[in-house]
Amino acid sequence: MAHPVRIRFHGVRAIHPAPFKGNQTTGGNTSCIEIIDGNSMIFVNAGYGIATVGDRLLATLKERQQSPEITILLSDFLWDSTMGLPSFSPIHDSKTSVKILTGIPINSAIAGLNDVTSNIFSPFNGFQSLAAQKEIVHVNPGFQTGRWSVMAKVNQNALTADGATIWRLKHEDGANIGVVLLCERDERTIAETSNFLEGCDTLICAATSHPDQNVKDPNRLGFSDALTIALATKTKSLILSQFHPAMNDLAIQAELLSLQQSLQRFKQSGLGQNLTIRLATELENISVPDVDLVKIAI
Amino acid sequence: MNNKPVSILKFHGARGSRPVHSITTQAYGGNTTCLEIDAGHDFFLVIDSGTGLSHLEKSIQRSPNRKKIHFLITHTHWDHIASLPFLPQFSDPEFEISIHAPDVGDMPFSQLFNLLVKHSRLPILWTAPRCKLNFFRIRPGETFLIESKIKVSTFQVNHQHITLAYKIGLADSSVAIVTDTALLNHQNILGQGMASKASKIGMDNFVREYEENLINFLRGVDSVVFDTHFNEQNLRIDWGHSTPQLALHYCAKAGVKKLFMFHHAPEDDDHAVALKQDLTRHHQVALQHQIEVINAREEDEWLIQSA
Repeated sequence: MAHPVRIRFHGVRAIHPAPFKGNQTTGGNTSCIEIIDGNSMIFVNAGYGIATVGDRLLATLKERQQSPEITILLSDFLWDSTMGLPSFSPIHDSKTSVKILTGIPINSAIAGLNDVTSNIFSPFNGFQSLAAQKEIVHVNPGFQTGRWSVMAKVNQNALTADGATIWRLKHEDGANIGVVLLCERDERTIAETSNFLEGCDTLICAATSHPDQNVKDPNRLGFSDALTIALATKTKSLILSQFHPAMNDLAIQAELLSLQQSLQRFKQSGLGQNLTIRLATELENISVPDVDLVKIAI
Repeated sequence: MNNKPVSILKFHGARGSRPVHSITTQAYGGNTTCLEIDAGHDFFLVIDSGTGLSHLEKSIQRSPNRKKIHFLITHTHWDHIASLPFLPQFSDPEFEISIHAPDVGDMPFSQLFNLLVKHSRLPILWTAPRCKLNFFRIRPGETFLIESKIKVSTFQVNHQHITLAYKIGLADSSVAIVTDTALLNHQNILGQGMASKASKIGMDNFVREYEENLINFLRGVDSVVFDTHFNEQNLRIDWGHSTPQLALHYCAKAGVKKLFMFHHAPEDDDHAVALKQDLTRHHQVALQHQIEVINAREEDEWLIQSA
């Protein structure tokens, strides 16, 4: 029997961590998603969320006498996507193999990783000084890791000269996941992104709306943009993440409610009939095997 | 009636190394280093700009007529500076922001700040500051005045690069902030320039001199905020941090009245942090000098007044 693919969110915030009391339900760590198929260890992004899972992961694998092989896909090299990496225990373990997948050229990737691990800002001495066996892979356009086929598409983004990578992951057993964590909200970029992800069953999408509705960041998707992409790709399950740090639990719930009402209106006109929407939430205190947050149809 | 002037010490972030968010860290908070001292002047005095800096907004809203912010930066590790570029007041022309910081290697902090904010990896679009922005280079051992009202003394502690402890003289009291420091010995000498000085005067002499100077720096201070990241069981001194016992040792020798344990490890949940306080109070009883031991807790505010 195939192992069900599961998704676990360790960090759901964009831009800046938000470890505040009003964010207990949703979470306050910056971007990190774990994709679990029972074989590979895959993370998307290495914001502060990845640091929370490192010790437990390393201990579990050592108990099982397994040498960890970890794959990290990065949407971009902005701080909210990489700053947890120096605090991710496996990266300091010489028996661990860490493969970093990026859609951008390797030299730019190394520069980004050196920044967060620079001895000016951290107790470390650049990316190469970290003890794990490390490999950076420029995915252009595809790469096979374990039972996953990974595809990358790079979009321009004014926040980063390197561009932002949109990921599509297809599992041998059929799971088909799109991940859009940083994307400009102009019509052309949204259309191109939707084309790339068309037909994915599950879409993890940024919803970085600011609590002040008058503040529109052209470089980050909002809740309604996520719904636009989900409808265009004909996905079945839309999972919203990358919340703005100023959005507390109540504000996020209110946005979800509003988005679900919009979806109902679309459904009345025949669009998005099979689509469901949910929020990503951090579930730090439940061990990985017990979590079945999202079971993807196999 | 007690008319002694009072100052308030505010903990905006008490966590070390990295921010954490979990239901098991809510009591002490998950934001990284940021403290504020409100001495009733017409400016905000903020020590470090870790993610706790977000809480400064509440102070600014409470005192809308104050339009000056002075930052004292201890050093440039992420948990002490990462939130600085996000401060909204950089784009407010009514504000004047002054940053007092040691150099990083040979680089003035102003240069590092420009690299940081114009960085292609900052997750927001940076626009040129509209506030008045001043930088002050602070050398270890230097003493200076802020707005001719607050006297600040500095001491280089044993942590990577130049990391400064700050002693802040208030109207009727004093506070010392020692956010990151490790035991200094033959195997563990971390601060910039320390190894070369030790080789000139001999390691034993250097260690003795450092200890004496740190104790003299803290002598007579009412309240000390001290790095207690590790405990005796999980100590890794090469990471540049202390234990509650080391903090107690220095505070007892210096005659300090109140010790705030600070820079809680991100791995420590509320239970572990509380246990650390209980054990330290237990150790404190055995000392001849009585020190009030308190865990720093995010969003706590303490009156600072001499006994």
